[in-house]
Amino acid sequence: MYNRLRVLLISLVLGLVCLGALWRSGVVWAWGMKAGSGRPVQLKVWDWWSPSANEEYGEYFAAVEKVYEERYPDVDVVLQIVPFGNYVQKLATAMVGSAPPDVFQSSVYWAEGFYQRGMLLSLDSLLAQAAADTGGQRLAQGVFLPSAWRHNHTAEGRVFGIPQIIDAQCLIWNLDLLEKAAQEDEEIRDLFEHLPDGTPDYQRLHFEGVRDWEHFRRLVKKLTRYGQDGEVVQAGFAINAYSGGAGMFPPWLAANGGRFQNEAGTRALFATPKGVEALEFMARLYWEDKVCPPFRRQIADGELFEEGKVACIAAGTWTGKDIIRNTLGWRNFAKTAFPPGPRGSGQKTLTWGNMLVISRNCPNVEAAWEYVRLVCGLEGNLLRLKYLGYNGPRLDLYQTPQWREAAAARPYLANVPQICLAGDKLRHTEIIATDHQANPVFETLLLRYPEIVAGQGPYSSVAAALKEAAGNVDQVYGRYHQQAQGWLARRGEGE
Amino acid sequence: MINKGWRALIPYLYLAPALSLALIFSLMSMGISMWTSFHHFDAFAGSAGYAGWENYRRALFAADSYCWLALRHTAYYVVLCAVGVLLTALPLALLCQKVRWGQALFRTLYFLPSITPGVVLALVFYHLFGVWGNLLDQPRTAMPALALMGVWAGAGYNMVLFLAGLTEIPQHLYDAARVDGANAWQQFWHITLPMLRNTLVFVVVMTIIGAFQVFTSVYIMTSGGPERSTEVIAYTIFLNAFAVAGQMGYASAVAWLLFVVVAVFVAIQMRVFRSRKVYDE
Amino acid sequence: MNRRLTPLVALLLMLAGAVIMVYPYAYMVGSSLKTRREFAQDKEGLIPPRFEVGEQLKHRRGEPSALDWPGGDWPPWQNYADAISFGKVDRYLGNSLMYGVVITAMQLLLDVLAAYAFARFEFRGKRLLFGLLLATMMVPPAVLLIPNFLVVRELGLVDTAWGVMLPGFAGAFGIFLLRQAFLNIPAELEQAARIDGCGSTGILWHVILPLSKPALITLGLFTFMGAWNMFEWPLVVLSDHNYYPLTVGLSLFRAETGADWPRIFAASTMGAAPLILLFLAAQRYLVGGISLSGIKV
Repeated sequence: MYNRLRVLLISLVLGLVCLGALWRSGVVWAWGMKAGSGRPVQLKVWDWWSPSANEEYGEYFAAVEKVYEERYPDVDVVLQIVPFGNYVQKLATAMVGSAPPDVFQSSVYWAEGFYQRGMLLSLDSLLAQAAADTGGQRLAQGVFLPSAWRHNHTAEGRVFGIPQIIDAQCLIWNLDLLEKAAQEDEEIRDLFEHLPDGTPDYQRLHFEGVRDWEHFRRLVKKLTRYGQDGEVVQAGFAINAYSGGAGMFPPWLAANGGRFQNEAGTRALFATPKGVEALEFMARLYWEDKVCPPFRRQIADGELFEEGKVACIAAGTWTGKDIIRNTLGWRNFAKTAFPPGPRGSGQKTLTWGNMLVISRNCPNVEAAWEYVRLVCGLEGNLLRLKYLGYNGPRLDLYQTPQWREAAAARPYLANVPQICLAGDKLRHTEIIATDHQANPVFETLLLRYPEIVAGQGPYSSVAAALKEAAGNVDQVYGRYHQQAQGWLARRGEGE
Repeated sequence: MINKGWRALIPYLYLAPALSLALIFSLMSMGISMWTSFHHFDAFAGSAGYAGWENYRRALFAADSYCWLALRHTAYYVVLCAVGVLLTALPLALLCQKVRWGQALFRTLYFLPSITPGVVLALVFYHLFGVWGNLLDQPRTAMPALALMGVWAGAGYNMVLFLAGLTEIPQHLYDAARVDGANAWQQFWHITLPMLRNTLVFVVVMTIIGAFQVFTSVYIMTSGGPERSTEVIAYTIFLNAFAVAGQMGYASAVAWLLFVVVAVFVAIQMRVFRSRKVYDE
Repeated sequence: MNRRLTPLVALLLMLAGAVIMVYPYAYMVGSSLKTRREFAQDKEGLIPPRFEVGEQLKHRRGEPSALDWPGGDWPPWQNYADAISFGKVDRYLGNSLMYGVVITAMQLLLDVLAAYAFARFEFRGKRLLFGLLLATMMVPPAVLLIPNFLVVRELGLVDTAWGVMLPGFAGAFGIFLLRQAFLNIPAELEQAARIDGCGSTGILWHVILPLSKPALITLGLFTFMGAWNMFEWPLVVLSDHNYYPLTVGLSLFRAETGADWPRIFAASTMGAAPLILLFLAAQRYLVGGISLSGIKV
């Protein structure tokens, strides 16, 4: 009898715990959301900007949602965050599943591929209808920076996305370390802008401060400090071999006048002397000039930069707010583009405009299009500026008083417009597959550069390695192009 | 006695739900997989046309397919795991038998990894391998590190299997051997090992089948790196099926190649060691 | 002398091995108590610096210490609270529980019925169907991943809870296990029940099931644990994060740059703990079940 009671009691407690857990489960929560939002129309929005990575994203989305839902009370905006690395797979799955998003942010890495596979709605007719808009509402090519309107249309001009942001890869410099070194070194002091009275402005760097690769090498060597055993204690520049070896190669390649792929995405163009030079430049910085911290898989460049252990890293124009958030407020850094290599000219980088797109089977195109107009119009740009300190792809943004105030309050924004203008088109075709082919080669080149130079490595030379990688990437392009033409032809589009 | 009339249907009714689900999600799936492997296929856009043997040809012969590379690396992992299991679980079981106190406690502690999600273990070891000398950064140490984790995780489970096998060995055999003057090693070699034959084969075969499909640790910890040294077949299949556009057919072909390799491996094993398992009926 | 020494040596070795087995868990829990800065500065230690006696003393003397780092004033459970409030781990845990319970219930139901048919009936095609069932066990799951996805896609169940659970509802393993258990029940009991007027379902309910409780519990536990630890299938089938089980939720936690590792470890601990507790409570069924399934099949 007592035993039975005990069993009963345990089962009851367990049962309650389980019920509680089930109540809080995501499945139940999702049912609840579908049932009782009280608004007839649901707009599903996807993005990878995650509030759990940076709370400011949460504030931004809340503001956008508030503005939109006040304007359109019968629409309920439901936001879902999907990690960048899994976005393609998750999107394809959702689209054959039961709850695909209506409107979502697409990286330029995927947008063209999505369109070719038939996942996106063509925006031409919507743009034509909105042609009469003016001012901050207007969404047309002329309203945006040229470098923002590159990835969002097919070769024939069919538009499938509207740029929401403009990003560029850039160099980020730790101004604390630079200022300290500038006290004793004139070359470093010359990197800074000047205040009206002629003294260095230690919060801003000249956009053209670094003249070329030799100059860059000298500078980061001066910014490197060594410990007792010769290990790098303060690095001048950080290179990460592991997290996508190809990631940092394309901007240096662009700075040397090269390109990664051709416009149509059918050939790899990096296996050229320009590419070899760019890769050797990176490898030599690590192995010969020894200005870099040791290659470590678990440690990202950003982490090192936030800890103050490296003077310069290659990152992006968007990373400013993440650095501020992770260091709980430190903002003494500045951005520049990549200095020209021996075969390049002018400060260079790669730019892209991640865009908002609407999915082809969206049940409520009007609601989705109004969302796009809000987020990609001047209003959305200003919200991103306010909550995220983010620059935008619209030309009219830079004329607003808000921008001037923001640039004054956040000095690291000073060079960002020029950086965005100085960009070539970022590669955009079949990124995951080409990375799968090319990244291990770049990894090997960086990790085993001395062996390769001595003729004992897995490749006979850097040029041979790049040629092999390019050959494999060409295969990827070829296979994809063939299938893509097939899909386009089935829909009556394409070549 | 086979029933007549509608009563003959009763067993089929009992069977139907489970059997149909099991058959759909295995045998029918295999048929679909076979079909897909002969087509160009995209997870979203569907079929892009008949491909014939193209996918298989690419998997087996193309320079950029890395299918052979993945198979080699997977086989390396499998061998390391099989050897590792024999070197850890078997001695552990022998030790556990000898221990007079705390057998149950040890069984519990050693069994923990078997009931922990692989993702959790992978996240923890991702950092432990970093702390213990950056094992995941060098191609030479990355795969052995993953195998180490695999062996560690399976130690308890396999130990329990060996323990069960050991308890079935009659004590009088050992007593007789001791009377004949055999020492511990001779007893092990001439009594324990032969009597454990069935268990050994079972453990090794199960380890091999499982190790051939290693995925979670690679997905979480290395993504195939460094320099492709941990690129395994299951990862290739996943990547091509779901992350890359239009290569689901190719991934299906690779999956079939994996199936053939595993089947051949297991068949050889069972032949060579001629396990005396008898399936009823 | 040798006789007495061997158990002691064995005990010491087993203890050493046990420490090796448990160390990663200690690392996980210890790291889950750290702040982000603490983890970045001290990846090796098991104790968060701000709780170390040395650091506390330094702080009290007014010297710079780990308590000055961001988060130095956090209580140990901060990451657990954050994982639930920001990371929505409670949703993932609830999902894991739901999948586990439903899959286990359905498997038990379906497998019992099928095993009963194989154990207690004679019918045409029995050997063939049994052979087919056996064949399904031979297929490595890696081969089935893609086509199962396509089948679920045709059924319109991609990105739903049912899509995650459906392939797990029936398993040959469970049918074999239960069939074995049912075969061990003496036929006389069945005849006695038949004399009492039971039909086949009555026999199942009143005779077979009560006598095969251990096998049922074992199968139930195995199935639940298998369902809880599912990873690759839900990873592939789901995209809506509201349906993620904890395993998938964890793997995507860190897809952001600069992942918050202590928080991830807190979520991991919460994901591993329920099964460990379940195991501790039901050990003998599980361990017994392995021996049973491992050798006799």
